[in-house]
Amino acid sequence: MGPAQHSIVQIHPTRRCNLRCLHCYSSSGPEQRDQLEASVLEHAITDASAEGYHVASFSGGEPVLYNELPRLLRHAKSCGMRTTVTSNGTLLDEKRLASLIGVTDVLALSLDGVPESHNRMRASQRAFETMAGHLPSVRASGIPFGFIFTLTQYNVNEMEWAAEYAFQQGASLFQIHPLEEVGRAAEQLTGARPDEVEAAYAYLEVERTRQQYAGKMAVQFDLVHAAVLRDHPERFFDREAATGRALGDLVSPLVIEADGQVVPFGYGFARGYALGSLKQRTLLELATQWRANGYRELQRLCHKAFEDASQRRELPILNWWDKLGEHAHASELSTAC
Amino acid sequence: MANEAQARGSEKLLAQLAKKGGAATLEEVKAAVSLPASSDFKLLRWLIRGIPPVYFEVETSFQVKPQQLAEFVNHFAAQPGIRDLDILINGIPKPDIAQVNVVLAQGGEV
Repeated sequence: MGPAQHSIVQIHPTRRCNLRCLHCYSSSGPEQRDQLEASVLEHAITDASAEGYHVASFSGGEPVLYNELPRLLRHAKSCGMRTTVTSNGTLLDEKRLASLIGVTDVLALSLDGVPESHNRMRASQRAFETMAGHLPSVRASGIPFGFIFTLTQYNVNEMEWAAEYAFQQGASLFQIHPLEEVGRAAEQLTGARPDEVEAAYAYLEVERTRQQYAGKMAVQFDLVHAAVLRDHPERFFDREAATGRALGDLVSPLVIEADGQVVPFGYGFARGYALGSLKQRTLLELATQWRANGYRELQRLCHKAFEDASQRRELPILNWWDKLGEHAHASELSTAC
Repeated sequence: MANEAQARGSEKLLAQLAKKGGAATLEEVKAAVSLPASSDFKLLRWLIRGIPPVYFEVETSFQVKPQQLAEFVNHFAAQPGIRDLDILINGIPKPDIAQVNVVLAQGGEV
């Protein structure tokens, strides 16, 4: 939840992917066939726009493998939304890039460290080389692009290299996102989520990187200092009543998964807090129902997570979304018992 | 990946820092001893020695105000890697500055 002008609907149209990355939160891969019909998503985008969402962010699976992606991007633009596409970058040939030009505001490419680390994480010996081979075409397309670096327990030392690589390639954004132990990552990368010590190092590295590239490349860090959370809770969650307010003011990011489930905050978020499925109702219907019945529960969860996260601690850098996920999971477990 | 015997990213970062010697920034040194970025102190000197990635030590000297002393000592005393901690109080007749010398072991068992 956050300022309305940043309200994001994150859309995962397919779980199909040419890679089978170790850290994939949606367990995507070549064998996966889950995908939503374009007409369903088009309708959902219209509804999301009406509900106050200003950014449509497409991820996956590999979103460029979804044939109707350009149609959805065009539709989101026609609704007045900003659009982003997150890709592993290995399939961005000129034809695919051409279909994204004019309808994509930001193209975010995955970069997990030096080539050897990137390939290990991507479970592919050629992932880095192939992605890098497409970068001249990405630059030539004129689509603003950035790189997303997944921070683990083991790679804060590679952030400096990754930031410099991103800058040298002409990226306008370098984003550091912590590994979440969801999906395949929960099976294959147990214990690789950065702990408080690694988060603290990353925080300092980010500060240094921001100074180094100030005015040249934006550096976004998806972890937060507990003091910021304590002083500005309104940036992280909404505390007002839901009546008469748009969904986009209440929850962001809102996530549409490839099986049609609509959940708050992140892929795989505890189903007890889900809005429901787009295969059964439209997003407007789900939003109306959830405002009346589901939102209070989510607010309670946010308050609980906030009390925990805002405690004073020795190493104060934390993952707010992870914290919410932990509390949601614990809450579901206690209900089940 | 997690099952492999792998060093923390921060340990590898410190190994790189050791190679950079005196070119390290204050922020990197703060990171090396896990101090919050907002800590108020004067860094007098620092030194990294040992054989990364097996283990190495970070030796740092801070100058802090007496009223901050307890917070600093508590911070370092709680760290599992603490190997030495000396406190020198300066100022006559009333202490006005304290020097804290810290040796922290990083990496494997020492």
